[in-house]
Amino acid sequence: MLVSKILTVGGKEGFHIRLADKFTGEMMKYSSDIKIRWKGKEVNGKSIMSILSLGIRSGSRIEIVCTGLDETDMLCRASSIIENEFS
Amino acid sequence: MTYAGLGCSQGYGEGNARIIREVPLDYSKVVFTSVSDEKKRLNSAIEAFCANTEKLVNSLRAKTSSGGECDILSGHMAMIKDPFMLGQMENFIENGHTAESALATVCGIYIDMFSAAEDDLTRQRANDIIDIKSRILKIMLGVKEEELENLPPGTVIVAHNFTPSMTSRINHENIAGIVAEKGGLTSHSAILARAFNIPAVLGVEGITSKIKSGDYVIVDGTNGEVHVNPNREQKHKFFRLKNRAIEAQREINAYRGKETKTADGIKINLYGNIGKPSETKALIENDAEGVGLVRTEFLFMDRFNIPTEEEQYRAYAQVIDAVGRDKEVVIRTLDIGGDKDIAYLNLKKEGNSYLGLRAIRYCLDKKDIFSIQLRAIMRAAKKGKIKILLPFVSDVEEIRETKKLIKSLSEEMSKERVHFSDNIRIGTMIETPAAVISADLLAKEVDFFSIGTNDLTQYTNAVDRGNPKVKNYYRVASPAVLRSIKRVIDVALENGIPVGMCGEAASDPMLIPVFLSFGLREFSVSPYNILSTRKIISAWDKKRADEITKEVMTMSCASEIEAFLKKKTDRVYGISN
Repeated sequence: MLVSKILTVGGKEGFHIRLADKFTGEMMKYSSDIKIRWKGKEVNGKSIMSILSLGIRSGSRIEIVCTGLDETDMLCRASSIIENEFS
Repeated sequence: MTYAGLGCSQGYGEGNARIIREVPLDYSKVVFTSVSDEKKRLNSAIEAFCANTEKLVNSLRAKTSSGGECDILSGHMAMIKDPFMLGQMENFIENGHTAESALATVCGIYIDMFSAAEDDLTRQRANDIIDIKSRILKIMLGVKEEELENLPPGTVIVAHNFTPSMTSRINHENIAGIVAEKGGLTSHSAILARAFNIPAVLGVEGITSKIKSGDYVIVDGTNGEVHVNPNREQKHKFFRLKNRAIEAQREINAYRGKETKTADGIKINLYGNIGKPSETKALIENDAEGVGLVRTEFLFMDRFNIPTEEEQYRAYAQVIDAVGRDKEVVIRTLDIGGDKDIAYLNLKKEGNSYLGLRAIRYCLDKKDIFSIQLRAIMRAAKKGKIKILLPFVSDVEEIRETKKLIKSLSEEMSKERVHFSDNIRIGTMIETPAAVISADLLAKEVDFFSIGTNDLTQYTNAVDRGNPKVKNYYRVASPAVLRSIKRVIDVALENGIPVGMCGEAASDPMLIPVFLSFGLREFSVSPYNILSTRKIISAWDKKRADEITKEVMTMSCASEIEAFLKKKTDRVYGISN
């Protein structure tokens, strides 16, 4: 199985270090795999370096894809972080 | 010798150079022992790195007041702890690489990835990984870090790449300037240099091989220049500039708390523009006499849905509370479209967004969104002296439609028994040629004008202000734009309505006398330009401003006008070239 969602990255600095740190820390708590897709690239959503290497800017639309046993919970948590934690 | 680079942190510094050379980190002679040993060495080096960094963060926190600088180094710890990257390093070890080689190879992959990113900020982050990599390698190889903690007073640091960890280790009071081959405005070293107020010139190619330790160096962070062993003349010029900068700041500060008036006593209203609520503080500190422009877009940005009436009301009320109920606050309604996008509004891509559904056109098309904002403003108007300013107006009908909407909203709010005021003055931005040409018609419909010189120049001269190729056509001092501004002020005076100016030109020392002569009596500028604008206004009297302006209006092109104004105004401001 696989669940996915398209989200908009807000905030002034886009997907910055602090957010990526928090995001990957939370994602690590789930056993499922998570991928972030943006502009034809796909990276591991549990890796802060991979996320930062994309340089996702504020206002970008990204796709989050989760696969595994707790994929629905994981996707839910991932979107709530992206929707609420940008500052 | 003089070398040019990017001035990344303003100011003038001088002192003796100290070259920080990168120690070559050669690990080719390290012998692979066993997989478990190499992994252990890698992990303990990373742990030591994190412990050192933690210490640096704490000492940095004691040196600076803002937290942003510490976040840069905390970020380094978060980056190196990435389990995915660590897994890649361990993979290399399992394939027979030493800990050093595994670290260097994997970091190298990320450095390449970051360097290839489209976005400048991400490219600059590659420097952070270089910093991390070399610091961990130094730990593994037992190489000591450069001595930076005890540099003598008046040191100019010259480095290939001035890294964030270096910035946090220096005794910043002793550092007169920073010069580096790498780095740009958004690099972490630039951010840190600005936080410590150290003049910095970055991106100076090959500079480490051109300067020797001990050379006398002048760092001009304002103009992006480095003078090495300058001659007497250069030194002279430098001290003149430095003293002038100090003197100018002192003179400007003397205008705090003073009335804004011309040399012959004409009273001028000097207001400030703000783009976000946090700027209200700067506005008050710099002595604004009112708020000439509140850009409300900020309320709609950095979020995922339209701000509610309550949220908007609180934001507007906050501005009134901060500046005082007796001060005028001009709120410009949502100016969206053009170059400003908001993701959740799902604005359709337009072939020519500057001529598309932007600002008032968008608001009248989406009356539900517009109504929320108008209701919030009307509620806040109960608390203070609020005026409403409509952006991008090109036709009288847009004003009439807005007034009709306000009327129906006030009926609705009366029924709901909400506290509000509908005794609000409504004005229009003058920023399209249509508004200039039909200013006489608009004047009959509105209570005031506000001239937005940025867009007015763009639309009058038909020049995209974001396009560097046509930069030369974007000139406020062109005959077409100056004639437009004059007409608008004339019409406002004939009709007895106030007229202000809120574009960047309102704080331009060269143009201020021209606007004064046209009859402009309200200037709204960035908070940081308020005091300098007050000083400039006070240097002019009507007679002198009129003389210059009369001549300007006979000239036929922007270059001629600019050259003439520069000569005339420099004389008044006491600048000799």
